[in-house]
Amino acid sequence: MKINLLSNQKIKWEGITDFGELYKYMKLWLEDNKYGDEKNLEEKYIERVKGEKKQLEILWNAEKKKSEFFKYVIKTQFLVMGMSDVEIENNGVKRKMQKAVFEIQISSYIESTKAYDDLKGMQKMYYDMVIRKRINEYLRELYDKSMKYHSYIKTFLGLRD
Amino acid sequence: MTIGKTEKIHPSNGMVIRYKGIIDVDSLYKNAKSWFGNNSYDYFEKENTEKSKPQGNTVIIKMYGTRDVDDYVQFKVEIVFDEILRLKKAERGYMGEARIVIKAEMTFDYKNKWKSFPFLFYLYNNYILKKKIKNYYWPKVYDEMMDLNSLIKSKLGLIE
Repeated sequence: MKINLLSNQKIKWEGITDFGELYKYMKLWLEDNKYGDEKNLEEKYIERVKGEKKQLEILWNAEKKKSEFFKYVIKTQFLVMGMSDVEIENNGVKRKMQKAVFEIQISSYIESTKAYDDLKGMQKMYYDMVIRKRINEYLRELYDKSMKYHSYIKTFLGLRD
Repeated sequence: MTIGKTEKIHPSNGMVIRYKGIIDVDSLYKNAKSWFGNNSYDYFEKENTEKSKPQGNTVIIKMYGTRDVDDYVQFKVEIVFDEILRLKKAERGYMGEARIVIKAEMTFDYKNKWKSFPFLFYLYNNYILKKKIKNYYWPKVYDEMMDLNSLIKSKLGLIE
C-alpha cells in the first residue's frame, strides 16, 4: 500500500551555486533526520560529459521505518544541465563554484512494509479498526519533515522561503 | 447545471492580475504563503524556479493549498506567479513585470467513499446537498479566493 503525500515538488535554480556543498548538505540533512545512510541512499547517479559541460541525473530514495507496518519515503531527483566550473571571488577569496540549471524534485509518501502485506485478509480490518487515525498522524509528521527539507534546499540556493 | 466531482469557482482562465512596476516579491511571497496557514490550508509548493539573467531574474512560483472542510468537501486554492520577468533590485523591493493567476475549486467526496456508487453520488450532490453547496460551500470558498485576490492586489498597490 502506498499513500501519496507530496508529489514532484520542483525547485529550480538557473545560476551559480556550490553544487558539491549542496549535495553534501542535503545528504547530511537526510542522514541527521534518520532517513537512511550514505550506503543505501543513492539509487542512480549518471554523469554525462558534453564538451566542457556536464549533465547529471541523480536519484535518492530515503526511507525511515515508522512502525512494523509502515515506513516514510522521501524521493529526491536531481537534474543538472549544462554544468561548468566557474571561479567566484568573494571578499578577496577565490572559490570554485558551478554554473548550471539545477532542478530538484521531491516526492514523499508512506509505504507499507512486507509485514503489512503479509496480513492479507486481515489488512482491511486492521486498517479500519487500528491504524486509520494513526495514518493521519503519520501523514502530518511526514508533511512537516518534507516541508522542512524543501525549505532547507531553497534556503541553500537563496530562493524565497 | 449538474454538480460533478469538482466545481471550479474561478473564471475559466483563473483570476489574472498583471502588473509592471515596483514589486516587493519577498513580501508578496511571504504574505501569500502565510495566507494559506492563516486559513487552515495544508500548503505545498509545486514549483519554485529562479533564473539568473543579465536583463533581470525570472521567477516562477506555484503555490497550492487544500483544506478538508468536512468529511465530504475539500477546498483547493492555487496561486501561480506565472513568470515574474526582468526582476531587478530597486531602492524599494524589485522592479519587474508580473502575471499572477488565482484559482479555487471544491472537490466532493475527496475520500472516494462514493466511488462505487456513481448514481447515488449524483443524487446526493444534485438533490440532497445542492442547497448547501450553493448557499454555504460555494460562497465560502469564493470569499476566500477574493480575500486572497485582495491581499495580492493590496501588496502590489492596486485598486481593490
